[in-house]
Amino acid sequence: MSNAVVAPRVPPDEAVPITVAPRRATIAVATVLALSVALIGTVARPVPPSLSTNVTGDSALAAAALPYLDGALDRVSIAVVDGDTVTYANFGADSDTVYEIGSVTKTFTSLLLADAIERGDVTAESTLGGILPLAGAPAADVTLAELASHRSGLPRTPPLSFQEVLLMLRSPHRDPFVQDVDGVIAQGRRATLSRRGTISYSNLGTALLGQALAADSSMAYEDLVRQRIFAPLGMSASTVPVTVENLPTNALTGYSVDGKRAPVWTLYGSAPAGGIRSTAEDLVRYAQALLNSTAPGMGALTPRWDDGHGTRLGYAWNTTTVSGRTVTSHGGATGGFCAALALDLTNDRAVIILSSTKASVEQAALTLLRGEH
Amino acid sequence: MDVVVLTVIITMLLGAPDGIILSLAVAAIAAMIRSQGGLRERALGVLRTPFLWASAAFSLAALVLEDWQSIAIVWLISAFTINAWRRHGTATDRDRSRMLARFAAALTGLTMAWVAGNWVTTPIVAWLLGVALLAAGVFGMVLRWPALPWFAETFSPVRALGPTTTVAMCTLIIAVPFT
Repeated sequence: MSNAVVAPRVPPDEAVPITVAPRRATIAVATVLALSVALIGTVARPVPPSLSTNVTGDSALAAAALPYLDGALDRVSIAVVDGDTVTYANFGADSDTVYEIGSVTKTFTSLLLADAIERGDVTAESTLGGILPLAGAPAADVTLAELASHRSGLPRTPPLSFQEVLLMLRSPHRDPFVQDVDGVIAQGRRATLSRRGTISYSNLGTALLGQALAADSSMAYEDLVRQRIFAPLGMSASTVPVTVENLPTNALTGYSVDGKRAPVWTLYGSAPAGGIRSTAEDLVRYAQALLNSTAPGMGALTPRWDDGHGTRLGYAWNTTTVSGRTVTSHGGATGGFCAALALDLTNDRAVIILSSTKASVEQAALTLLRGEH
Repeated sequence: MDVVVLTVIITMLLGAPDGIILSLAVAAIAAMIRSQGGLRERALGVLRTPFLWASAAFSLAALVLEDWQSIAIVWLISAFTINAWRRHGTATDRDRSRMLARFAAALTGLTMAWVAGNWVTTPIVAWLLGVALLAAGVFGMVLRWPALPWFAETFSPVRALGPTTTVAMCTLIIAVPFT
C-alpha cells in the first residue's frame, strides 16, 4: 500500500495548518538538514579569480599599467618597445608565458598575403574561387584584398548548426570555430554576401584568406606561418595548434569577463582568423621586425580604406590617430584571452599586452603607447 | 509543473525575450484549457489561475529588468522558502510532492547562480543570502513534513506528472552545464 493512501487527504485549495506542534525529533532533523544546507552552500560558494599580485619585471611599468587593467582576473604580460629598449611587466606570468592571441593572428595572415603578393604568388585582385573549390558560390568572386580588409561582404561568423547551438548553450565560452579546413571551405561555399565593398569585420573572410594562401603554397596554414614568419623572426615559442590535441596538457586556459574558466580555443580550420598562441617575448620580436620594416609582407600595414569612423584599414591592420600620433594596431580575443598589439611606427614604439581574461586590453595598450602614465 | 522552471528551460533554448513571451503564451493557453463553463466563467477561471499570474509577474519582471536569469534565481529560491513557511493562502504547498518539486527548483536556482552568476562583480553576500534562504526553506519544509500528505488530491499518474516534470526539468537545467 502506498503512502498516498495512508496519508491524510486534504481538499484542494485549502490551507494546511500545522495542527500539532512539531515534535522535538522533527525540529532536530530540520535543524540538522538546514545547517547542512548552510554549511555545504558556504563551502561551495563561488570563488572568482582575481588579477595575480605576483608582479615580476619592471615595477614602474606594472604600476603604470595596473589602473588600466580593470577587467583582468588572472595573468597579464606587458611589453613596451621603445627603440632598442624593451621593458616587461608581468602579473602572475613570465615574458615567455604562452597566451592565445585571438584576432592578432589576422595580422600574421595579412602579412602572409602581402608577402605572397611581393613574391608574385598571388595578386591583391586574385579571387578566392581561383584558389579554393567554391564552385561558383558568391564568395568565389571575392578578391584576396577584400578578404584581408573585411570588405568581402562575408558574415562575421558562419551561422551555427543546431548541434553547435546546443554545444554553446552547454558551454557559452567554448570555441565556436569547430570546422576543419574542408568545413570552412564549405561554409564559404554556402555563404551569401551582404554589402560587399563596405568594411564589415569577418572572421570567416580571414579564415578563407588564410586557407587560400595555404592552398596556393601547397602547405598547411600552420606550416606557412611557421616557415614565412615565425622562423625568420625567431618566434620559437609561437604556434598554430589548430586542434586541441596539438596543445600541451598544461596549456594555459583563461577566464571569461565574469570569471568563468573558458576552454581553450584553437579555431581548427578558422585558425588564420585567431588560432595563434604566443608569448610577450615572441611578440616583441614581431613588433621590432614591424618597427624596423624587416618583417615579411610589410605592405600589409599600409592604410588603404577608410571605415568612416576615423580608422583606416590596411590588410587587417587598423590605423588611427590617437592624441596626434598615428597608431597601427590590432586587438584579439578568444573565450578566455585578450591581446593587443599597438605600434607607433613614427616614434619607433610598440606596446604588447596579453591577458588570460576576455576583458579588452586595447585601451590600456593605446594609453601605454602614448606614454601618458 | 512549475511555470518559472518551464520558462527557464524555454528561455535557455530560445533566448530572451522570445522564450519568456512564448512561456507566457503557453501558460495562458494552459489556463484556458483548464477553465470550464460558459464564456464568462471561463474568462474568470483564467483570471483566477495562480500559475498564469505567476508567469505574468515573472515575465513582466524579467522583461522590465532585462535580466531573466537573476529574476529566475531569486524567484525559485524565495518561492520555495515562502511556500515552505506559509500555512495559509495560495502561496503554500499542500503536499509533499509539490514541496519536493519546489525544493528541486530552488536548488536549480542556486546552481544557476553558481554557474551563470557574475561573482566578479556581485558581492558574495548575495550567494550567502541565497544559501540562508534555502536553509530556512529546508527547515520549514521538514517542520511541515509530518502533517502533509504525499498528494493533496487522490493520487493519479496525471496528478503526479506536474511535480515529476518539474524535477525532470530541474535535472536538465542543472545537467546542461556539467555534462
